[in-house]
Amino acid sequence: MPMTAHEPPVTSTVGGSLAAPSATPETDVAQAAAGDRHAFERLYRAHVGRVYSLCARMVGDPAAAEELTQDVFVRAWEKLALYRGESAFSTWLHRLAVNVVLNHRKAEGRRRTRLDDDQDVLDVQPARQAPAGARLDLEEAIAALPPGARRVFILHDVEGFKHEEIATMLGVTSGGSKAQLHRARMLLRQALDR
Amino acid sequence: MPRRSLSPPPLLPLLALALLGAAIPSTASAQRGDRDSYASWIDTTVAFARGGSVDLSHVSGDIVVTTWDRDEVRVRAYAEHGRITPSFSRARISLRIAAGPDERGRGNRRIGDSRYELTIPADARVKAATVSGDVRVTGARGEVEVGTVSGDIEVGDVGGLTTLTTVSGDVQVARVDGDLALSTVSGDASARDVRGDVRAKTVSGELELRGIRARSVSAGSTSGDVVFEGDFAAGGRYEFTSHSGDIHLLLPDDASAEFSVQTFSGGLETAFPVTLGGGARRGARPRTLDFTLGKGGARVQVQTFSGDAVLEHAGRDGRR
Amino acid sequence: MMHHPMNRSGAAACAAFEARLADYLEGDLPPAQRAAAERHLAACPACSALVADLQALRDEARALPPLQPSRDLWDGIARRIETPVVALPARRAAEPSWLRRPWLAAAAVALLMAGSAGITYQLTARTRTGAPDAPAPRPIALAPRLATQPAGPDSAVATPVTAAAPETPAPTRPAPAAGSTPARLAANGAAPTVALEAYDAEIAQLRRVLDERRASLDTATVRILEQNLVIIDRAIRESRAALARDPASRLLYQQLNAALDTKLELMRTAVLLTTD
Repeated sequence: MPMTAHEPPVTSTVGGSLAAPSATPETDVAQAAAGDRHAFERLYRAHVGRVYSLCARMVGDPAAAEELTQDVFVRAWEKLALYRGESAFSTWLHRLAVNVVLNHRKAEGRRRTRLDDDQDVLDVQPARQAPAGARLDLEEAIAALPPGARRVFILHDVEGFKHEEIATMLGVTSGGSKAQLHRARMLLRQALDR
Repeated sequence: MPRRSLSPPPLLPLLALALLGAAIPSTASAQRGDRDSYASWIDTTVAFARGGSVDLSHVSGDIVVTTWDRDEVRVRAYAEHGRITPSFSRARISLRIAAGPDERGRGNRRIGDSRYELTIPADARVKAATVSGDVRVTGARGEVEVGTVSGDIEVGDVGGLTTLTTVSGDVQVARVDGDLALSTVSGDASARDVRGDVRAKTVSGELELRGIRARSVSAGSTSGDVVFEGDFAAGGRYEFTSHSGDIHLLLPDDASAEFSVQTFSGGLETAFPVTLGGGARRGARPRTLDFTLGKGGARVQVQTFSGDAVLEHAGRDGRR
Repeated sequence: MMHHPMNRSGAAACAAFEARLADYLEGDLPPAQRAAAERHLAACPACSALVADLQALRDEARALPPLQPSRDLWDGIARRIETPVVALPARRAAEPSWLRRPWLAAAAVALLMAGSAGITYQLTARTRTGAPDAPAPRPIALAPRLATQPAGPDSAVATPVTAAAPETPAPTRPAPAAGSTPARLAANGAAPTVALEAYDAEIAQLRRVLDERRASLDTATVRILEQNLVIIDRAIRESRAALARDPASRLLYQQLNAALDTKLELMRTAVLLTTD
């Protein structure tokens, strides 16, 4: 079966929801948009797991990911008044998280190793060296991907965005996104020694 | 035919607006303690001269400007806290937010949202300034100038000189039949379908310019990426600079231009067959790569420190 | 079974399949090529194992369990989204002045617009004239506001931002005249050190004003401005280091110029957004 882009997953509640039984996500969103911080905290509890996962996998640094997660929710609070329900709140929040992470990437500057000559100027070094010897699990193997391939793999295969969306987010073509995805999968297969 | 070149918007009206605002004493009385009513609201329609100017400023909330084919301005505005200070004449309308009632009033110092909705003659000039509010302007054929600190800017179907400035807000502008100047610090800016010259600048935001038909384009960033998709006109000049951001040029298959790509440590990736002229020494730094696509005619200059220059075919969705 | 329906050796058939593998996995192949790929898969255990691996990877990635932060992040968020609703006198000093006097904020943005118009104008002027060091007016809007203030400690630091005067050509003495904007570096290398000092001097003065008044900015804006200053400083550092190794490079001068200009503009923008 060919793989096709799948829909973004529904809201994760793994973060441990403290939501009052009576409060539906929709009313939480509306109340938070009106300035209710308790409602916003419930939204935070419901979504923190998924947001943090995205941040952690994208930046590969738990401490930075925790800060970014906070940035995402602060930004969400500021922007909540603009959320008009065109998409599910979880989708909206997730896109916001991707934007925050990508802006962070830009702000951190590039740490890319470059070739001296004109051919391939894409990443040539893994972002993190895999521990020698040990058989990697998938999480570690993802972390060791070159940044460009890692971003696309996470956004597409883990997070479920479509190539067209990823292309827009990253400012590449969807052809480029597909190529990076394939490269990432091949590298992962190799790293996992399959 | 020489196009009208971009020039800085006049300074004095904005200054006057700002200084006048600071000089107004806060004497308004507002309903206190009633969270559901607005401290200040306006709903009116006034006669307005074609080509008049509209100056709007507030702190947070939305500013929405649309146009119609009448010599009138419809103003609907409300402020949750503070007081809207309007000034109406046939040639100029201004709205700004003044301080709340007094220093003792609890809650009066809180920034509530204010919202301005205006429908104006299509050829009026519009200026809008806000701190965290979002601004949307559609259909204006006169000059448009928008500034925010963190608010987003959305502008569409405009026809005059369009100047958009923000620190961290995002900018989306589409269908501009005139010159466009964009500036952000960290916000992303996207411009689509512009028939006019474009100046765009950012520090770390992303500049995405698509469907550009201009004789002169200048886009610069420090770390943000720059994406340009458009046609090169014979005799036109197109300049792209960045420090570490990548510069992506998405070009039609029959693109015709003389390129000069200079980079210190970045690379050039090209989907077009490129024959390098003399002077491209292997391994030399900085590298200057001069080449011509098609018959030349337009001049394209790309300068980066460590960012890459990428030339791609502009397919329907970017695929070859 | 190892038959190769197309007239190719096994290796060539596998190579042809692998070339189309990405599109095959995405379901992007036209029907004829897709059918050929399926035929190859049916015939080639190695390639079908590869496809099975990649599909398994996709499924595993999809099923990765969420990661959890090592600590509760809510408190940090709650602190940052606190809205200044309560008028506690003790908090006054720390609050952005535009919260106390909101009209100031709108005024600041109006000033910001006027100030940053200079950015676009500079870009334009440079492009039009083609002369990188041509004088360009820098309309800096703060001057009249500062001019209304009584003379005092502030009047000294106000000097750099009253640089409404047109940009002057490269200064001939190390200390630029008060009120002038440092000249752009001449790409032909004329007195770059002098011009650099002038930049440094103005930047240092702007930095002082900014540090004094940073409490009047909201923290999110301060963070954004500081983050972007870090980015620009890195660009300046890198350009300078490269220039030290290659002092004749026109490109590196232009890069350094651009970064310094960007820094000046950003710091002016920041100062315009503050109040004392």
